[in-house]
Amino acid sequence: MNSRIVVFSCSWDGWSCIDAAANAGMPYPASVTVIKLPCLSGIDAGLILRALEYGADGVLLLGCQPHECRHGRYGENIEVEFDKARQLLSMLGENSDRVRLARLDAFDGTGFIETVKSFNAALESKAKVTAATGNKP
Amino acid sequence: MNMQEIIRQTRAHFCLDCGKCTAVCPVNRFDPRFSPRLIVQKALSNEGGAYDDARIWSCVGCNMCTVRCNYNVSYVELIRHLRMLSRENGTELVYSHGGVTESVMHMMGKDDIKQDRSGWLPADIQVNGSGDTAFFVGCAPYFDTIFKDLNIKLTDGTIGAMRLLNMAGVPFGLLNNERCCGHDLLLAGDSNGFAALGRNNVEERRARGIKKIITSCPECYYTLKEDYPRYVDGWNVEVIHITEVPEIFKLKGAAMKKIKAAFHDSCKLGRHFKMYDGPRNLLTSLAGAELCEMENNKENSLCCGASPWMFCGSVNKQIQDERLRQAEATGADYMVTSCPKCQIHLTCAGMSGDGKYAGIKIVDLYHLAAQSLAQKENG
Ligand code: SF4
Ligand code: SF4
Ligand code: SF4
Repeated sequence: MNSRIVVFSCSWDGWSCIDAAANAGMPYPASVTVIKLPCLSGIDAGLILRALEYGADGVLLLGCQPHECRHGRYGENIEVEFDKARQLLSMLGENSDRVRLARLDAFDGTGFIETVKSFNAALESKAKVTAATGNKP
Repeated sequence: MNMQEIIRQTRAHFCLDCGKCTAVCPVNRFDPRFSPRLIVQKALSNEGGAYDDARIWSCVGCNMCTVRCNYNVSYVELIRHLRMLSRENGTELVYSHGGVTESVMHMMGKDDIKQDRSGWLPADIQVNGSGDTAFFVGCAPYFDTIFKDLNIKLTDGTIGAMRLLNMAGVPFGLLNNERCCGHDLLLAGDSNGFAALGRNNVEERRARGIKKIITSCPECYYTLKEDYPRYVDGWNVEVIHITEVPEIFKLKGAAMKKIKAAFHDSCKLGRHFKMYDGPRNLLTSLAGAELCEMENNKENSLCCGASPWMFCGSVNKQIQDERLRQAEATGADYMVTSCPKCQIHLTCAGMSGDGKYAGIKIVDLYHLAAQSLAQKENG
């Protein structure tokens, strides 16, 4: 069983990695849904929690390296909202690692595939612990 | 509930079309297209419900109209029901803050969550786990994270309230897995979301054998006291507001240097419960402040101007600007409020525009009072 992962990707380097992976024919689980945004700085804790509330197991934020941000936001907004979402999840007694932030260099298809696979594996092992013990890890 | 029942329950059929409600409505002042009278009349007309009128989402729920209405039409209640119908008919809503408050409330409504919500609690606060009285914290711990950009700590007020109870020797416990009271979901017409929170709070109360709840948040107070008995099965709790605890007023403060404070009444504690004097007494006797009244005060107090985390826009901002100007005009050092949400919305309004904070600092009543008492104790 694969985890349902929503990827919010910026349309620059983040998207170029997904594109590179697709062009090279590298597979990733069909349970991954990609949503393309102009820039990750447009994301807020609300959007992240919404995806989880509506049934995603994990949310991956995929964007450029901070100094590469085309919109000059240098990612400061992203980190604030990412931290907020994680803090809110902890308070809600949820696993805060259900949200991940990945910054990749342009056209790093392999990097994208590895990120998604390791995220999927982490989510699945948590899910197994929950199923076995009845407790959230 | 169908339209006829809604009309009966909210007394809308008594409406004489006089327009007093519209004359006093703060939203109407800045957006003349919004008229409570017309919404009541539309609800009464035979052309179907008023629920598909987009303007029902503009009301901030301040209760000014009902106070003025000679026939006591429960306007806020009517709006809540119209919003429920509107949602049932698939209306898409525009959330402020990306809907984060709503998502948190929905996630809190899940039956199997175990929250970790007491990280903010200082070690010196005495919490007694065995009694049948609980202090209801509200969402301040969540707001601290959501609104950290505003540079305010809402739990300061909660901690202040708990300190006052400690100093007055009033014991209380906490509900470890307390859920949001659901005030904002109900005002937004989200009856399912509200029911989930209510059901879980009943479970919490039962598991701990709680018979009495003390709270400092005006909206928790209203919801737990007025809405839970009506809409949530198995509640049966005596709910009191911290300004109704007599022991608090025996404390002696006033050690702080004399400050001038403009008191901002929250709509719920003020116009709804008419509790105007308790908070003011706390402010003068405990915090030792000189009270300054704003142009609109007590029954005529102006709302902090925000709807339940949705459709926040220029009209809301204009109401808030006016309120901040009224506070500044008193020459007070602080604008003091007893409601965490008033503090959030007014701080936010003061910050936007030119990006600077308002000319007056907005502080929480209980925080101020507890600080003043602590200073006295420390000499
Ligand atoms: S004040 Fe009351 S009676 Fe007058 S129009 Fe408004 S709801 Fe109707
Ligand atoms: S509750 Fe307040 S905002 Fe809503 S219609 Fe009445 S006066 Fe206007
Ligand atoms: S006034 Fe309140 S609802 Fe409006 S943007 Fe500010 S914090 Fe959000």
